Amino acid sequence: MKKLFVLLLVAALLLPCMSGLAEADKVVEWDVLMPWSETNYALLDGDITQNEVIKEYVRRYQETYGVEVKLNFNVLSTTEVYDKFPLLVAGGEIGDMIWWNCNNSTYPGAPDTLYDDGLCVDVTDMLPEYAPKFMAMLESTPDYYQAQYYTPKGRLALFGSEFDEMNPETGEVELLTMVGPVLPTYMLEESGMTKDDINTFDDLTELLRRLKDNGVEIPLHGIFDSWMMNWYYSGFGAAQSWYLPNGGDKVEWGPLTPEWREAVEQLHAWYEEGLFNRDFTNFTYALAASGALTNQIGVLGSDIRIADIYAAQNEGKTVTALHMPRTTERYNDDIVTGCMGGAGYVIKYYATFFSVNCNDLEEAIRFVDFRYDDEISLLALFGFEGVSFEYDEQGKPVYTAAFKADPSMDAKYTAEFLSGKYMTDKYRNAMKGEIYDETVFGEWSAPGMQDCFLPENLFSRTVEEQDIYNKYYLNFMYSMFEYLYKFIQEGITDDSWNEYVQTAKSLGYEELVEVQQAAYDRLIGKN
Amino acid sequence: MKTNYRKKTAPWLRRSKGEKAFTVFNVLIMLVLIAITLLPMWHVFMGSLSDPVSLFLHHGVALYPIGGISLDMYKNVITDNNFLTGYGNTIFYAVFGTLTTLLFCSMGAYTLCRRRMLNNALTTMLIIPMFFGGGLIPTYLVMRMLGLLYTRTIMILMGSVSLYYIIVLRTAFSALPDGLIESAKIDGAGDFMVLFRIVLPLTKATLAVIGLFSVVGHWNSWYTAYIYLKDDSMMPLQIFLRRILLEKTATQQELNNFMSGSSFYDSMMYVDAMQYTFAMVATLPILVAYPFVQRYFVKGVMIGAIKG
Amino acid sequence: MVVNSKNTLKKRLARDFKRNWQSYLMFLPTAVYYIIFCYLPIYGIAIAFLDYRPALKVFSSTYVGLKHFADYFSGMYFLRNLKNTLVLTLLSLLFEFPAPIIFALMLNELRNMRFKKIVQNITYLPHFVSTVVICGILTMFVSSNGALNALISLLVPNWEPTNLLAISAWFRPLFIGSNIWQGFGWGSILYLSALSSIDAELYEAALMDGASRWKQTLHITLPGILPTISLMLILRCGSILSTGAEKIILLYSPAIYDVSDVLDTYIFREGISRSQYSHTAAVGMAVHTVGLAIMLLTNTISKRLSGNGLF
Repeated sequence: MKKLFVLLLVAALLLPCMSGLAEADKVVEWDVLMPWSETNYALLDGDITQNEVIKEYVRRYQETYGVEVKLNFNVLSTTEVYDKFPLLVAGGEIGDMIWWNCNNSTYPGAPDTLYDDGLCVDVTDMLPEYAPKFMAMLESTPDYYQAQYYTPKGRLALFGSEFDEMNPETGEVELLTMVGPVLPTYMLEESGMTKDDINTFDDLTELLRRLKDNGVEIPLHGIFDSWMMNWYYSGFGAAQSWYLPNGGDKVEWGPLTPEWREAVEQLHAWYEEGLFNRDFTNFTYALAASGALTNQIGVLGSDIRIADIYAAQNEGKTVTALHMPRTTERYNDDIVTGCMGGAGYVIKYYATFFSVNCNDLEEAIRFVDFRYDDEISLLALFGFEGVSFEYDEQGKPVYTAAFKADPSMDAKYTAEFLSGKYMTDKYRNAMKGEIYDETVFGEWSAPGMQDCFLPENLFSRTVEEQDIYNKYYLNFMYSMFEYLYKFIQEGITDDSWNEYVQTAKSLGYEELVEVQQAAYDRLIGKN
Repeated sequence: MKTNYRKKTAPWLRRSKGEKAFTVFNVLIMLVLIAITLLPMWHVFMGSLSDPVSLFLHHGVALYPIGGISLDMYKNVITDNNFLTGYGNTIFYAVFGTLTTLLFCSMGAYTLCRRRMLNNALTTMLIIPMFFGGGLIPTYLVMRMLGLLYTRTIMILMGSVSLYYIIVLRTAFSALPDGLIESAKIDGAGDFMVLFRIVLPLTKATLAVIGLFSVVGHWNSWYTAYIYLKDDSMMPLQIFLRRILLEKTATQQELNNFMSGSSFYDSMMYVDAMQYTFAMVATLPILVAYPFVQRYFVKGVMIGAIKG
Repeated sequence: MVVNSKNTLKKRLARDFKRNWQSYLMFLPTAVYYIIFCYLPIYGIAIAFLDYRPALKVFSSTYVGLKHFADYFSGMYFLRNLKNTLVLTLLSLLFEFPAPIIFALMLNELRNMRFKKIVQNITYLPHFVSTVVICGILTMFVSSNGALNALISLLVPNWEPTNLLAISAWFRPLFIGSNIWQGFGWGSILYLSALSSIDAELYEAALMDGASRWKQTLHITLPGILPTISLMLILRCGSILSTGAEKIILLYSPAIYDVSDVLDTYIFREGISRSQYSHTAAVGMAVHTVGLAIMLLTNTISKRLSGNGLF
């Protein structure tokens, strides 16, 4: 009896296993920690698995490799990630994978300390075997772009990438300026000036005064999203951040230069006259957009999205893009070089780190590697043909009209974080969509503006340099903003300027310049 | 109190000019204070009833609903999931948190109010943490160790035992006549019986005060939830309110929740109205319940104060 | 002799326990609470002397001694935070503290009981509005198309509407003002009850002696509520270095850090948003110690001067 019983037991145990082997695919389950934009999350009712791209990705993966993947997302909002992430770490709750670029702001000393503190596994040696697609992409990248994939201590981390339209020989990219001064055409007409009348800041001041006289509440919207203020500073030959003056090789911090001082003094003058919105410290994109929508705003440093508003919401009302103003003496394109951000650098937002507790590590690496594929990247960035995108005459994917009109489609049918390549395309092609007047933005993309651009994203710092940078940079930058607001509200005297410079030095200015210069020298040394 | 007044001041006609002037002045000031107190709340109330777009374009105080009355926002807010969740959670935490507070603190106070040998030691135990504190991270780690992270329990427990409450309760308990308790003991009642059958019913007023403070505290709290909770389903109302009223990005999301169909940018004009409506719906219940409750606690606070 | 007293002590304790076990049992929740929330975390004070890394256990981090203290006290934030904290506290003592007292005194002078009750009930209301909502309302109020700017435009010609919470000079008045708005009504309850306990006969006697109301206030009322005032003052001083940072956090921004960044907001910002746990643990410890010292000092002074004290 005993023997029979044991036999039955063994059979009972084996049977399911055998049937398992025969039918079902292997099943893996991972907990993924990933910050995601609050807006998108809300648009999907808080359920990220409603995103169609994720489903499709998993489906295709199963088709290819016969492995069924279950993903449990632990979603943090992008505003809360800096507060919550270290607490999660202290609580031991990072799950199996982190899909986010962890840098010093998320976790002190990241990404290297993620490994050093025993949170994540260093997969550098495993990548050649389990992430062939990624390695292939890496090999085909020019040298100094490759450096970005390594952490300061030389570990390889799986970052997404974008280096579309980059000249592979020189590594030069076409910098697109997507932001500049626009204002509603009818306001320009009412002011009695024409677009070509406005070339210098004095001209712009005149326009602003006229706008104010005509009853425009906010003649110039002070856009403190630094991205949107680039056009302004460059008119003075100034920069808001690190740059290379005159396109040379010396790294400088824009906000400590006399040109910047001049730019801010002009802002103060406008502020005094009430030509500038007084809520400028309270900027949100939404306020700017809604102000523009209700025609409360005159000149706005804007990108294509605002033009969209004007076109779609105000029947027949177009926007005019103004020439970017220059200071009177420096009305000379050779000297004034803009410091625009541009395309062509590695997007480090979507990185992957594997926790030490990650089950099925090799499978996980392969799962992430699946991204580095043209087909998948297209899926991730553009979604589904006929639904969210279609092909134009040149065979390039463009978003459908329905997609552009409804933000929830973006949340549902794209998943940037699953794209390994060609993220630039998304923005470029969106920009080149039909409804945008080429001339509105075309003139801002003038060549030659990239000379003073400091390609920080291409830097690979040493560990010591990274430490110094981490230590000083944030407070240093915040201090600059504090003074900026004060200067705009109260003006600049020699005394307050000196105090400002002194404070910057005490907060690590000299150390930071040294570190930046060293990193840049290393970069061009490779050139 | 009535007696005080009658004796303190002479009838109107016999008062000096100075006194008359002062009375008039006093009344005026009171009226001004009433206005100052009510005006902001009135403004918010009116704002919540206004037509959203007109409100957005309007500058200044809203003394009446701008652009006509519109109840759409109210409809949207009341049916908003986050809002309902937050409300439910806050009520849950307030009720259970307060019950816990009252229970723990009154038991602790009772022990300290009777003459016991270890009283001094126990009191010292309560005082020492005033001198040292662990801080955020150690507390966080202890919570993790005990498995209290991301649970509702921690919201109920955190802050439930407060030295201040214990002192107040102890004072109130001590004020009861000794004889009462002694006779109960002679009749064979244990301490628990004495506490629950005799002491607590007699100190209702003080308990009501502590209860009120505790409820208000829970109503107001966002910090604990922000640090120790993870799921939105457990978040109290203040967290959602904070996102909506102060972190403007969240505002857009909420708008998306209700304004689907209209253009994304259109809906941004509804921001102001939405904020006002949320603020009103969050505060209205308290303002409504308030008149019923206030007669109890005013007495209690006064008693507590005098004895304190 | 020693042996004897020890035995007696033990025996007495044992007897005490037997008789009062229920009572001690009652204390258990409180004791457990204190152990969990107050005593256990004390080991974390060590963080202030380490370079804590969230992934490691507390004691695995490297020891750095007084580095964090030194960093903070020699940095530019320390003096600014301290100054802001002290200024806000001082303003709070000068304006927030007396407001309920004055209000109570004036309320006390009202003869019409119904009117008095109405005023009381209305002025209690702001206390129940949550901090978040108040900050939200305040933010909307002072924005450039908000009510306050509109009001000022009526009074001051050529006033350019501005977001007042971005201007340093406005922060302190707005902060203290909104605190007073929220608290003057509710805070007066305590003083009113103290006022009502003043012996009526004193007033009678003063009236017969021909004392005016003002003199009555000066010589009877104020001394009558002095114990209450000094008790509240000590309690207030006990939290002298905590300035209601929760509210400041909801209101401040880089534009006004120079006046609004107090010790507690700095700790919150650096500690949570920038996860500088060790650094802020050190700062917190320093602050806590100083606060305690001040409270003990105030207590001693009060005891010497008026005989009233907390301890």
